[in-house]
Amino acid sequence: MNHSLTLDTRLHDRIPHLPGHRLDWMNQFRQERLAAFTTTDPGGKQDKQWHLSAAAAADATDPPHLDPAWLERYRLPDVFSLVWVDGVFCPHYCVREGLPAGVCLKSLDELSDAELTELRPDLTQPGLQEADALMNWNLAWLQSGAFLRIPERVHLEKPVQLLCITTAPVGLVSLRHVIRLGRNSRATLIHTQTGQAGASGTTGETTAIWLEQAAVLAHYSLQTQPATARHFARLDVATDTGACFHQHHLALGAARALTDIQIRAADQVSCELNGLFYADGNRQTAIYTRVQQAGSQGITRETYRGIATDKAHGVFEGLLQLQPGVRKITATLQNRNLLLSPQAQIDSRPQLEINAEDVQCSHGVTVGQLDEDAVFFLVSRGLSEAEARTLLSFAFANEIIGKIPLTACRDQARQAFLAALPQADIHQDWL
Amino acid sequence: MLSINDIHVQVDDKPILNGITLTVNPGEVHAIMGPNGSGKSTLSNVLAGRPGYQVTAGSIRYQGQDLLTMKPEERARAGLFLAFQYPVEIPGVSNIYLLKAALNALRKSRGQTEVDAMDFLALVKSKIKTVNLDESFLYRGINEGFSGGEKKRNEILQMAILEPLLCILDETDSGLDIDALKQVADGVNALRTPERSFILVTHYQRLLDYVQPDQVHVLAGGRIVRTGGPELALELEAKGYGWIEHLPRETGP
Repeated sequence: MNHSLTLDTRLHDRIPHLPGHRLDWMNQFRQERLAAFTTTDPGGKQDKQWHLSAAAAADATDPPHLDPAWLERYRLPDVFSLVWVDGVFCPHYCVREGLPAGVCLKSLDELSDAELTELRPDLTQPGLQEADALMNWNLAWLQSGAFLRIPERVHLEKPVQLLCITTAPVGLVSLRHVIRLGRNSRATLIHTQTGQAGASGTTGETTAIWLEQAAVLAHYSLQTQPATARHFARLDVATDTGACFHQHHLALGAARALTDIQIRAADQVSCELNGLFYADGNRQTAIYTRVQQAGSQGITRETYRGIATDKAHGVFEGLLQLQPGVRKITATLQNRNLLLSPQAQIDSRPQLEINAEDVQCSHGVTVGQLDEDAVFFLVSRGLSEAEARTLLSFAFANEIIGKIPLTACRDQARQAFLAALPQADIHQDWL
Repeated sequence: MLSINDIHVQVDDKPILNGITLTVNPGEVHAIMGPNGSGKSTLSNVLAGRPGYQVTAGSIRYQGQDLLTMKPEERARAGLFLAFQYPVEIPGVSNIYLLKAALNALRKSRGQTEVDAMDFLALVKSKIKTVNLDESFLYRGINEGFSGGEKKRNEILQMAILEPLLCILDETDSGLDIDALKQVADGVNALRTPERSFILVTHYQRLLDYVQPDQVHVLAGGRIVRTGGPELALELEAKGYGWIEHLPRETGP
């Protein structure tokens, strides 16, 4: 079977249902990305399995169905929100009343052809790094996504939540979100990626964020897809002088999950990345970060933790690049990992590429097991050994979760982590 | 309450305790003193059930039960409490969570219901005053960033909340300045009852200035070489441990 011809035909048949299908540049762009996908040799972060699973994922045909009560479990209180179910934008579930003047919060499906054309550079530029195979796939099949634009000097008081939910037993979801914050603006963006039990499709989401001068974005990303699903996410952040990007990322679900974070930091940029993954069963989870310090007088702090149990496999790879000539940079990269079973595996690869002087950089990595002295301490207080081990695993994760400043988001993240832990006899109301 | 009968203990095949016999009755305070390496902490850890200690001979009975067959958590639930020489730090779980989890584990084992949230808070707030810790310590990670003295007072707070029958303090006085030492001693004295017993493991006599023991035992080379009243501690303070090392073994009380 000619694989690429099949995909060409599939895309051709699909295009009339995708945004911008009347735009020649868009259709051509899709074909180019598909061609790039089929000719890209999968390797590195994305192995052949990712490639095959993306190509094999059928387009969902059934209209999505979602119990609204289930949705409300994930929607945070007092937020503006956009909702996608199985990649289909659901305007009836969205909350947008009261958006300040000038703020645009729309789905790509809602944009006119003229608006899409205006957005063309944001939609088509891959970001810091060339588009890799999965990103090409995402761009070729781009079916929807968010467009958020905040004008300069506007402080958006309420957070914006993007809820991407999968329900279908099979199917492909391909979303691209474009976020642009004007000078001196502020916003909080929550990205919730979850699915109902049994959802077994492949979701690919790419997000492009532009932070103009002194813009401040707090970004929370919580991925709790069921253990039958696959989830790929790529985030590209470009910053201007004095911008601030603080992110908290929790990857707790999916049979295979891959998060790729690429950030380009200009002068005086503050970049803080906190993250956690938890992998059990046979699940595989990977987080890649690349922060390129292109400007001086900036601060970058990365703190990631990983937990793997059963036969799960976790990967953390963090790359901090300081370009020649930059000065007065403080950068730290910390990665601690916990192995809860002899068969579990975690690979940690922190890398510093320092081509500059007058900078302070450090990194530290640990991969270990639970502290047996701490286990004994807890059992000597009357807890069973199983309770003690669960509590210590929770404590390890909670140090990252506890950094989330937004209370509702922190509580939801904590609840999601506890739901993922086996025998979670932790009393959340005591915490 | 506690009857230790000629126990021999090894760690990594190395003999540490070479026949300890000791009886602790309800309400009594026993001080175990001795030079470094004499086996004091080993005795504490064996009583609390820390893994890695092989009891090769002898027996220990606690409240009529064979202590050595009980898991550490079963010992805790039966009222045995070890205040650690080096309390561990557990960031990510608050102190008050631990207190509540521990108290409820004990209550559950006794067939009691979980403690009422308001009653628990009132209990903790009253007890924390007795160890002179600020209430903010309740909401910090377990021992996270605590000073040495604060960690030890936190151990006494746990003891005060859990109200054990037998309290073992493993060098709780080490590393404390005089004010912290007095606060720890005050906490211990506040817990003394005719039913509750204490084993104070200590290198120095100074804790015993503030907590009056009924008996003082001197450990050397993994055995009790001398037993006496509070005056024995003063004698040790005056003479040091050098003279005691070569004393013949006592059979114990």
